[in-house]
Amino acid sequence: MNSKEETLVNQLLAGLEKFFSKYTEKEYQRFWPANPVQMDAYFGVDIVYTIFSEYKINFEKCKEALLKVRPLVLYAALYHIFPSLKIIKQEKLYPISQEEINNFWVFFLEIIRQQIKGELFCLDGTFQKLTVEEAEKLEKRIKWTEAEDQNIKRAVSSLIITAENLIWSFYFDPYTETGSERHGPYQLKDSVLLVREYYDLQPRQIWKTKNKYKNLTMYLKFAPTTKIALTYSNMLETRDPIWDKLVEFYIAVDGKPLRDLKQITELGDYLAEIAQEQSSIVNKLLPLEIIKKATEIYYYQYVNFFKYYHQSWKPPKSLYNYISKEGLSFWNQYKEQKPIKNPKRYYHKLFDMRDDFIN
Amino acid sequence: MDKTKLKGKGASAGVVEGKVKVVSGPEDASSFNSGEILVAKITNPTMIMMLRKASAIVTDVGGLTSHPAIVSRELGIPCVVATKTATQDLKDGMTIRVNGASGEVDEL
Repeated sequence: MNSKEETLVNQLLAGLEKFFSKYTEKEYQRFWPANPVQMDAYFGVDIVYTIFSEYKINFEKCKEALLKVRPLVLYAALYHIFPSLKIIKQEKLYPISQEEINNFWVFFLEIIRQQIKGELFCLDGTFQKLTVEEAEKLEKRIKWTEAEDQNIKRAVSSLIITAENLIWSFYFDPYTETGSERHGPYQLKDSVLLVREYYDLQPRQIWKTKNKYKNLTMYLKFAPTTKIALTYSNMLETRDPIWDKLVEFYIAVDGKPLRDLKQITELGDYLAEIAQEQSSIVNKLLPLEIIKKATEIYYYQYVNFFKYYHQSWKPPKSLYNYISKEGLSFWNQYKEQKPIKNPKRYYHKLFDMRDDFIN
Repeated sequence: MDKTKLKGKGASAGVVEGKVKVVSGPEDASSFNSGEILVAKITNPTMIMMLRKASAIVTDVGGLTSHPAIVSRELGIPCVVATKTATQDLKDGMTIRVNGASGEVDEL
C-alpha cells in the first residue's frame, strides 16, 4: 500500500473504531428481528465473492457498477460482508490471496471516497453528500415552510419516527440503508441543515405491500446552534432533543410537498398503519424465513450493481440451498454476543482486512 | 408498602409523570391511551401506534443505540432503558415519574 492508501485505510478503521468502541454486548440486544451476524453469516461469503469476482475480471467495469450503489450501502459492506473475505481465504473456499484482499479493499474505499464530499467515514460527525456550495444552492432553491409552533414540530418528529419504523419493518434494523439515509449536517449561514431521504418505501420486489408511496424526502433546517452528528452507521447523535429546534422544513412525498399540520399528520397516520401491518408480518416469520428474507434484502441493496451486468439481483438458488443445509447453526451460534474485553481493539482487528483475526 | 423504585440507563433526557401501560406487542394498541408511559421488555416497530402516543418509554433491556432510545430521542420524550425488571415491577395504571437523564423511575 502506498501512503495515500494507508491514510484511507486508517481513516476507515478510525471511523469504525469510533463507532464500535461503544458497542457492548448490551447493544447487541437492540436489533430487530435479529442481530446482523445471525443473518450476515449466511450470505456474506457469497455476495462479497460475487463482487470480488467481477472486480477480478474487469476492475474498471466493477468500479462503474459499484458507483451505482449508494455510498451508505458500501459503508455498511465494510463491516457486514468484508470480514467474510478472511473466511474465504482461511477456509480456502475460493482462491484468494492476501494481496488480492488488500487491493480489493482499497479499491472499494476509493469508490466511497469518490461519492462523499466531506470527511470520510464520519470522523467529524458528518456524512456529506453535498458540498457547502451545493447545500447553499439547495437552500435557495427550496420553498421552505416555517415550523411555526410546537404542534407542527411534534407532527414532523412523529412522521420521522413513523418513517424510520416503516424502514425497519421493510429492511430490518441492521439493513436500513437499503431504503433510507440521512446526510449532513450542513452548517448554513443561519441554520443547520439535515437531509433525511426515504427512497424506497414500497419494495414490492421483496414484500407484498399496499403502501401507495414510494419515497419521502425531508429537508430540515434547525436553529444554528443545534448540535447534530451522524455516526458511521448513519445514526443520529444529539446531545439534547432536537425536535423543538426545527425552524423550517421541506417535506415531500413522491415529489408532492406537504405544507401544513393536517397533511403531515395524515401521512404519519397512514404510514404508521402500514408500518404496524408490515412489522407484524415480520414478527410472525420463523427464524429460517427471517434469514432468507435478510438475504434478499441484502442482495436488493446491490440491485443497480447487478443491473449494470444485466443480471438478476435475486440471490442464487445455490445460496438458498446452502441456507437450508446450514439450518439454524449460525443463527444460534451468534444469538448472544460474548463479552468483549477491549471493543476498540477487537473491532479494529476484525475490520482490518490485513489482519487474519475473525473472532 | 414501599413504593417501587427502579434504576436503569437514561437514554433520552426529560422528566415526565404519568400512568403506566405495560405492553408486549401490537395487540395492546387498542387499549393504549395517549400520554401513557409505555413499559416493555424492549420496543420494536410493531409498537409504532403506541410509541406515537407515549409520553415516556421504560424498558427492561437495551442500550443507548437501541430502538426505544432512538425513538424517544427523535420524539423528544424521556426514556430509561436496561431497568431489568420494569415489566415485572410496574403495573398498569400505576403513576410514576420517569427521569430520562438520571435513569430513575419512581412510583408516586
